[in-house]
Amino acid sequence: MSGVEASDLSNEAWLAGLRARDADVLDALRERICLGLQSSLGHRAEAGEADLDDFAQEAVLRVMDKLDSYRAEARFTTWAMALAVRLSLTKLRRRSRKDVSLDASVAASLTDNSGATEAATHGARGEMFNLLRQGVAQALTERQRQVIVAELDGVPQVVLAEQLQVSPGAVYKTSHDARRKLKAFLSDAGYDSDTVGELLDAR
Amino acid sequence: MTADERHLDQLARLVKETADEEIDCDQFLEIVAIFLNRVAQGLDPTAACRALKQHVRVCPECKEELLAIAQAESVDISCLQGEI
Ligand SMILES: [Zn+2]
Repeated sequence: MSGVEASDLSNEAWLAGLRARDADVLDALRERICLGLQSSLGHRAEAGEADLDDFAQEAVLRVMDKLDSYRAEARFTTWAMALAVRLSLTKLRRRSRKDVSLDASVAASLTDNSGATEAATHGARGEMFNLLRQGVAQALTERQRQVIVAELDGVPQVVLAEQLQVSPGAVYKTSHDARRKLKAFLSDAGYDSDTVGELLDAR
Repeated sequence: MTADERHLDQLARLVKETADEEIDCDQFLEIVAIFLNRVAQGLDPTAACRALKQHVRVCPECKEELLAIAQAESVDISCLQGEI
């Protein structure tokens, strides 16, 4: 049991204690993070108690590393928990999907134009889907297509980034560029966001 | 819905929610604590809060993180239903 009650500490007290490397404050932070991770991730089969302990330990180091980037508008503990959750989920995502062998069916769904029959079945919604397929085939670069297919296939960003040897931020930017192109492609064909939304909601 | 339709439906929803300017996942991490503290206090959303909500509509991983942080910090985010 730590000598410091986490709930009693102000933002300033956390900062001062951690900057001084006060063992009680470090312990209180680890305990606090551990409890938070148990509450938010403890129900997951892939996250055992020992894992969460390890993640909490590592998260304390991450927090110490990033202390200078803490902004006082946030509660210190919420900020620390955000770092801990990012660290933990990144580890679990990496573990869940070690390679990026993409599901060929996702790629086929997005590029195969034999879906024309579906358009007849589903009317305007099917037409919009066919147009989206066209957009994926014609408007995107190979890399953008690869990223979009991987995302829809549930490949974690961190895994894809490692596979493509770029940063996760670069993967996000590629995805954003691709989505913007597809949005413009649909819009040029008369499908603005409102129309797309109506078609998606009309089942 | 067939698997084909599910993928296209999912992509169409992502495209629909796409904005010209978006924050990325690192920027999400920089502001998520401030965002959750504002939600907990019932404060009006700032421009940064709106950018964060848009981000989680197009980024399932950050949405997963937002839900986990809220749960860990016991912040009730049910008021965001329909927005994220
Ligand atoms: Zn994100």
